[in-house]
Amino acid sequence: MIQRSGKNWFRVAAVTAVFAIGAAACGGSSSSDTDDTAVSSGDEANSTDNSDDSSGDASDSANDAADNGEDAGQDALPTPDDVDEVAAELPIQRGGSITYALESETAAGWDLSRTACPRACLQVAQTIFDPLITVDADGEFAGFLLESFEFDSERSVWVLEVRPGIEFQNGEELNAEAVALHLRTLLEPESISALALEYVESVTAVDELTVEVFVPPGENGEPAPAAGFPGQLAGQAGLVRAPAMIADAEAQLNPIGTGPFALAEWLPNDHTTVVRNEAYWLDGEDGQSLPYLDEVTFRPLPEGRAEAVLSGTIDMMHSADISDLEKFVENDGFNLEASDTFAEPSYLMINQDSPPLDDIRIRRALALCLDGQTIIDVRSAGIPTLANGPYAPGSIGYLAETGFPDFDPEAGMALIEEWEAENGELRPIRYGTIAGNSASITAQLQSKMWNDCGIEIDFRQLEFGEHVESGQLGDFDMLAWRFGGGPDPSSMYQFWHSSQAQPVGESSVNFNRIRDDVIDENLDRMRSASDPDEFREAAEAVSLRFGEQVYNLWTSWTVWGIGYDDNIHQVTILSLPGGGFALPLSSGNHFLTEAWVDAG
Amino acid sequence: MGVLIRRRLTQLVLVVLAVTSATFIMLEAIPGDPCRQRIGPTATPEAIELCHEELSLDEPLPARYANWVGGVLRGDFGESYSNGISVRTTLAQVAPVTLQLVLYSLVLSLVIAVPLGVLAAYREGGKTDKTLMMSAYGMLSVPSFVLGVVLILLFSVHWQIFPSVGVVPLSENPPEHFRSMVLPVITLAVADIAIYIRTLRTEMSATLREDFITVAKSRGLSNRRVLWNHGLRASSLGLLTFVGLNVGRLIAGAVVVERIFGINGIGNYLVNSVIQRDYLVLQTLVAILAVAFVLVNLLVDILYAVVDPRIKPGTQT
Amino acid sequence: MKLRGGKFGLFAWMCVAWLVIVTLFAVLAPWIPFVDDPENSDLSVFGDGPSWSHWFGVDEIGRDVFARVVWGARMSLVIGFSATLMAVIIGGTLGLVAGFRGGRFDSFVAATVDIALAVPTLILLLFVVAVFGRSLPVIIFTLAWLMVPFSARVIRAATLSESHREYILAARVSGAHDRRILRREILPAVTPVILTFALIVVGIVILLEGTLAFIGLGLPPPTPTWGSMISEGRTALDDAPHISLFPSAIMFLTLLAINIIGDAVQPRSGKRESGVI
Repeated sequence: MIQRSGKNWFRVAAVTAVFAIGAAACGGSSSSDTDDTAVSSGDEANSTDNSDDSSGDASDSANDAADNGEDAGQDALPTPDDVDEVAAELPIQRGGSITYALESETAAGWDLSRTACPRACLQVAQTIFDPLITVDADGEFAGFLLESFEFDSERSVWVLEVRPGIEFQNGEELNAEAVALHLRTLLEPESISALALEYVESVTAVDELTVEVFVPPGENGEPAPAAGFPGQLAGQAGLVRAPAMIADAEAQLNPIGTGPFALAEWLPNDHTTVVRNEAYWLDGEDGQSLPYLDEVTFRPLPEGRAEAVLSGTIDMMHSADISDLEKFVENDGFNLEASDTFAEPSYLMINQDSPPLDDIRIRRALALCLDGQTIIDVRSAGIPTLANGPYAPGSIGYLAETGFPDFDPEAGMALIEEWEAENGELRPIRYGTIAGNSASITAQLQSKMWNDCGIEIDFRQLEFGEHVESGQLGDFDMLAWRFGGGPDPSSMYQFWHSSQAQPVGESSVNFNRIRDDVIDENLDRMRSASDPDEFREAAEAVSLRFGEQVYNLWTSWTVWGIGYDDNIHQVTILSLPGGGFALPLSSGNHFLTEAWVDAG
Repeated sequence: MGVLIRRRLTQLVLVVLAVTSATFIMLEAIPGDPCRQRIGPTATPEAIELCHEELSLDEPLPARYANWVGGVLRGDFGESYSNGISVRTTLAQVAPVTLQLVLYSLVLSLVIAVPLGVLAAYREGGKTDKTLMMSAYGMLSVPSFVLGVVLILLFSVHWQIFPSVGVVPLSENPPEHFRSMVLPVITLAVADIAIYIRTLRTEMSATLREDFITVAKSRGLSNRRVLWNHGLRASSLGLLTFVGLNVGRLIAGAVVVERIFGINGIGNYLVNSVIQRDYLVLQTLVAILAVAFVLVNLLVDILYAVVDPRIKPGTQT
Repeated sequence: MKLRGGKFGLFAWMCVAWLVIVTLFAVLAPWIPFVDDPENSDLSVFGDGPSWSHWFGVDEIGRDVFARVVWGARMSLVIGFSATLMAVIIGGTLGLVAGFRGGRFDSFVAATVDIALAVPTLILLLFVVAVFGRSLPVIIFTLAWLMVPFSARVIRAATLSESHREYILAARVSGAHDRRILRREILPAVTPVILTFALIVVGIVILLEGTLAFIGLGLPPPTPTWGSMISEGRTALDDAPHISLFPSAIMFLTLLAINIIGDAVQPRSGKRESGVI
């Protein structure tokens, strides 16, 4: 199969060896939910490995270790558990500042109720704002600003208990009124969460610390579609803004939250500096309040982030590009933590309203003709796992077999021939991919594979804004996308439900314009699910339907990593007030609350 | 001189109006909606419409142009559609670094090129001349983005002498400022050094053949004096033409350099505004650049007159 | 056209030879047996350096770099020469007439050129690409457009100095038709300048094409051009430098050769050439 020669070969062997050592060293610890499917996916991911490859032995034993309890998704880069915590024995030092290179700038600013907040934005936002709910290391929802959250099915109300004694950075109190105000503004038409929370009818502060969110039951006595609510509160919608910020006409320039850092300075496309919140409500190990760091300066750098850290110019960076992450492996003076737990899938959206892509044969042919595993091996050193559905291993809804077509170019060509016999020659398919050198090279390889099958491809690179616009207006055949993930499979509701599908030329939140009864039904089931089994079944049904209908061409579950100077410690640790730890790395996002710098 | 300045200023207004209306029309043709970008994938038609109203994007083209012109005349250069920050504020923050980049590059290239160009002309046909010309051609044959990336790999990542991205402001830490400017300035200046050496050498070698040089020498003036005072002075016109023409190229080159080195200057501001479809910002930037361009030309014309009083002001050769 | 005696020595001839070789390879590319299909991917050796089967190595997705450099030469040279030709013809005409006629026409041309120069290139490029797409004619046209003001200025300057010579002035005064003078006297005198200048422009255009590729506005992939290959290979510079370096080297040598020839061919002149070459 694929052999690498020279440096590439060595690199893969080294990387796998590192994992093998790391996995063996912490084979006993269990950091995340493992179900049986994780074990089989581990085997599956490596069945395509080259047995002639001398690194094959190392990776096999690595996967045995994986079966023992690691998340078997990405298997060749150090995970948050692997990072050598020698620092645990060192005394924590307070003070200091770090610089952090981000993938992109958040041009629209920090009013997250109104504007998009992709990964780079969230990384900054999580320092200024605290979430109502977060995800713990086992993948369960845990209250953060909330002490508890429970659904009262009799009254059809989510009862949220706010944690007492927390203040916003401007001194305002975090109480039920403040939380209710925040949530109410999310229901307004300009809010980006308006659709996701469309089932909420009212939000009321019933006493000092209790908020009730009323979700009316279905018209015909069906259960209330309230199951997705905690998932929303664990995301962008749950980052609580102060009442003064909500009232500010320039809220996007003056974010005020309860988070460990406060915004000090924002110069768009240059830097965002946040400074320690002296009155933060969580305490560190030494009894004084968190955070340990004095200051974090974020710098948007679309290119050259890895080089910036390796040259000592910047302290820390995140990336979903394996070639960046590889530079940190076995590199003295630097640490790398990577993860694809609850990963967002990378995929190509297919536009159902753009003939002939509404014909399933064409969609299946596109999937059959694309050798996804080879692309992963060639472009990402074989590190990410080949995806077959929207939900990553370890997530609810994940299935080892979804019916998504395996690579079979002959079958693909046969389908194309069949279609062309009826309809004449297939027109070129328009493919919009993301900006950047790496994406261009990958797209060329993909196009080559499709060309070999007789499908002509016309690809263009698009900036984020053009992407969003093409998607909304349906001006595409295939559109590369990276979205979703997280512990709640129902969070993609408005993107896949037919109620949000508008014709081409009109603004549609459902970019693919999927109008599928099975998917609609199961999305609704997930929203109203009252027990975990029903939830899981509905999610798995969605997975299967996607696999069968090929509405999206799944490519991989995105591996995100952070590379940083090894004098920074505890970069993925957040002790939860209710006990336990937060998920270390969630699609590249992590908390800097307990991070500290060794100045010595 | 007064006539020249008056004429140029009238020209300025015309050029700016012509350029900005052309830009306005061109921007309309480029597909893209700043509101959709700003709100993101979950944008509903209502949200988009509300945004359009807020940003006056629902008004017709001529009305928007008129509003913009009115605003500029009032001193209101507009705000970013993305975050409401005024163009004035951002420009004040990003302009210095680009101006420094261009200025340092200009100084560096002239400081290196002038002596070398004179030397090459003086020793025309000899080994020095040939070596210098070859080096000049060599420098002209390397694209800036390759040079920049290679410099970063060598001097930043491997030898860790200079930072790979970003520039420290002059006011914050002068030594660090210059250290962080070294690689970007070199990248920007290299091509110019080559061009200036060649230009000057050609000019000088032709000048040195002229009668008045022979006369000067026969009057017993030292070679050095002849070379620098008489020769260089006469040749500098040709060089000036190039420098003037080049400023535009420098700004364009700065865009590439800013991208490679992660510098947030005017080039970066321009590029990001295009990506974000920040029409108002773009309009203002285009207008400012047009004004700057005409002013630089004016300056060059004045310099011409100063350097060679024989030349009627305003006729650039 | 006089050649600088002795200057066009061995070295310059070597440069000519190089250009001839490059051009031959470029023109005959489809038929040369040892030049592979530039779009053929051999994924079993992706990223490998030079070897007997792949003289310049292989790129990130297994395409033969040597073949791509040869095919890239086709594109780069076609773009270089076409854009230069267009720029010199358009700019040259403007410059000739402006320099010769002077007066209002000259001012008009100068003003138009100024306006054209004042429009930020980036916006213009985006507009052109947005409306017309990224195709070979569009790229050629855009690059030509970028070079027209430069062309016009230089040729105007040369024309100006030529037009003020006594015998031209005499001819005009004696009533000879402008067009005749232009054609018979000015044009031949200015041609050497134009040719040398054109050579420089070819070099600039080839470089510019690379920069366009870098900012994503060049010829769309997978068509290889030197510029796009160099740009694409830059992220792999630290562990697969051959992907960028071979096209860089070939482009460098070609541009160098063009420049050296341009210098050697430069007419010997006893008078100042208004210093632009």
